[in-house]
Amino acid sequence: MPPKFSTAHKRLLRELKEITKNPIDGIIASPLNDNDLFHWRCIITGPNDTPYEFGIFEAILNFPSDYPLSPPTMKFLTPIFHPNIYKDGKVCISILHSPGNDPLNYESADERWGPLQSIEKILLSVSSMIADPNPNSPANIDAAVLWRNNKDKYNETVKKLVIDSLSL
Amino acid sequence: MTDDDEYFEDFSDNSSIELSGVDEDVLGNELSSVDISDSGEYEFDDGPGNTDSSSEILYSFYKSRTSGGIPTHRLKYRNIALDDIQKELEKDVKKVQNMLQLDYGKCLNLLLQYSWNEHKMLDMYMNAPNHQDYLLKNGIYEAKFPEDLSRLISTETDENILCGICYCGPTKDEPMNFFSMYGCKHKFCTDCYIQYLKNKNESGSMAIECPFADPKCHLKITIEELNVLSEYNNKMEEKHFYHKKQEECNLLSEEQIKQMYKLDSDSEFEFDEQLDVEDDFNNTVKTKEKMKIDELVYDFHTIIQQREREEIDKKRNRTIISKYWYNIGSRYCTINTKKYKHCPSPDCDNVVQFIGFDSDIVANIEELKRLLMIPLVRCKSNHQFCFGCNETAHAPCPCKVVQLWKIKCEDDSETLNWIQTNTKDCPRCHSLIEKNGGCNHMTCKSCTYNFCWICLGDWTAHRNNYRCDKYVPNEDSDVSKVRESLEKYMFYFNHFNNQRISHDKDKQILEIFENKIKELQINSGVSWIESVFYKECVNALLECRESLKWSYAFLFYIPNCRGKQLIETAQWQLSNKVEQLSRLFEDVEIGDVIKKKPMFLTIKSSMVTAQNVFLETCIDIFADKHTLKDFVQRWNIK
Repeated sequence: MPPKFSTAHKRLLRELKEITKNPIDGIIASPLNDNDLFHWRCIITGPNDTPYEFGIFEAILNFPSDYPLSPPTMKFLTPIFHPNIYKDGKVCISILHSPGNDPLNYESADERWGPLQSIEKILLSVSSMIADPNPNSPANIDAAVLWRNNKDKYNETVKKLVIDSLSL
Repeated sequence: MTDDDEYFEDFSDNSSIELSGVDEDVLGNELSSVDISDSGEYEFDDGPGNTDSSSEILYSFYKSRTSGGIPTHRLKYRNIALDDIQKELEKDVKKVQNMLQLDYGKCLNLLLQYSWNEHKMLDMYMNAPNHQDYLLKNGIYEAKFPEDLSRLISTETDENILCGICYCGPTKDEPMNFFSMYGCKHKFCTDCYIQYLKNKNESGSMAIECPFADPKCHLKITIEELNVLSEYNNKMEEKHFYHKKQEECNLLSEEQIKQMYKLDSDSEFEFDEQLDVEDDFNNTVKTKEKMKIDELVYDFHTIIQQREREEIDKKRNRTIISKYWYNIGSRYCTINTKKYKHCPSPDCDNVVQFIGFDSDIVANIEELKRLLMIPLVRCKSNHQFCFGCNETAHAPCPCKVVQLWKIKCEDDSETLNWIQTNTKDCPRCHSLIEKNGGCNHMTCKSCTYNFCWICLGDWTAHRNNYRCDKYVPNEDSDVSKVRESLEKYMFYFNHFNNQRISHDKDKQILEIFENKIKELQINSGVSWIESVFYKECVNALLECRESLKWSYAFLFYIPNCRGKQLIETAQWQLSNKVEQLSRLFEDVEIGDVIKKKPMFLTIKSSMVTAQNVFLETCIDIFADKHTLKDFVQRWNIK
């Protein structure tokens, strides 16, 4: 009898297949190595017409064993200055929060994590979050304050960091 | 909580006006129910649970008046299990079901939505322009369930269907079972649905929504649908378990044969912790090996106990339904904290139901607390805790004092230690000073007093040389008040802490002791009933230690008066008895335990008497109005 794969395994395998078949523009995602489906590396390019343009951002997605019932966590490895990304790279976005652990109800249950979300949807949401930050629940306060009060300085800081991270 | 109550009150006032406009026939039942529960906020006598008279009414103190004639305003309560609450809640749901003519699970979901506030729910329902829309908004599909809900699980072979959670689909050769709620038809494979529900159950959520997300489906699963899945799951698990067991059995028998063969040929006994120990028991004759067997039997007993514990845990979490009801019951308790209290001990599911007071003056817990009484209750498993603040038993300390003390300990204990070791008071203005280097000539920042760090004398007397090496007897008439209060606090804190540590240590020792007793029971054939006295003694001892512990916190706050001396005397007597019993536990040989039973019991009963006297003395102190006023004003207790 072949070893029985868990739901998480099966599901991640399917998603991998799907993503390799129909790749998303500007986003690459695949497991870190072939034996471990629970850790993915993805690369998101900075959206056009934003200060993040031309930037290449590497991130790690960690999946829990009860995926897709619980959401994965996402962490950027490339330094990135953004109101919704913690200084250590952790991403704070509603789609990665399971409903029920937000006592203040900042986010409506609809945009939270549910088993029908997918890696593709996460990455697209993160990509659009990079283009359009949500300053209401900032993870990086400095970035949020700068974004609100001084857009030019913010753009400048972001661009500088993007160029630095490309190590040109 | 208070907001809710206010709302409840507001609402019940309005409701009778609004409802009177609606058709009387439909609402006849409801109006009467409003009247009943409306009669008073603290009149709980009409609540659920009272109809069941199987469990007796218990009191929070053993006497309604102290020997000094002070009323103790006892709290009346009853012990129930969480399952009993389920039965009561089911009655509530049935009542609503009669009115709305909806399916049972739908009414349950509605009640959950409104935190069991039946009147608010009915009001909203009656005032909604369109009942169907209103129900849909609350995630309920109005149409009645068909007789047979098991058809919700369907076996599919269509290759176009895909489960949105695991991304798997059936093939012609491998059909899959799919489940969808009656109202929404969003299909997911049963395994995923079950996992989804279990996951939600684990996080304690109720009225679980359909997982479909695009667009979000807000339909909530009802208890009937849950039941279908739960039963399906049980069946599958049983099947799985059976298969597994069979495999295990085959493996085991092979192992057993080998082992038995080995036993026969070598006569070397090596037992694993296996259940067949007892079977082999008869084969061993030699006493030496009998010892070994005894040990194993003892191990076997502990294993059984562990299994039993796991069994309870499993029972609680076994089926989706039971876990769901468990969540509902515990949520109900948290909503109605005035009436129900969960036992705060770990792994204890018991609930204490509040009934009333044994007093004319006291109407609610707050008033009782104001009188500085402590509503101590015991759950079914004999865990003692305070109904007022959900802490473990803290007599003789009133709840407010416990709070004060805890805050003080959190703030002060660590800081205090540091202050004690690292600072000195300025001899003139008593501000605390830390010396972080430099010479011994200090200048106080706040009063600019010049003094010597070593002898705390005036620096002018020192001039250019230190002359404080000579010993001066402590004639300090101006001992710092701050330091004094710190010292007082440190004294009581240390005693408090000592008692806490002894309590924990005693508990450890007694646990080991208890295991030995069990061993003894098995070896010497003493019946279980006969050794129960021991367990009682242990509990009494631990409770007395707890009382002693809190007495130090209490004494810290008591102003100096005649009553305080009385308390101290009673405390001394209690602590004497406690030490005596503790000593006995320490000294006694395991073999002598049964012989010394009378001794244990005598000391225990005198200890319990001492405890009662002590607690009464603590209550009596506030009979003096002056002391009470002084105490309340001084510590701002209100």
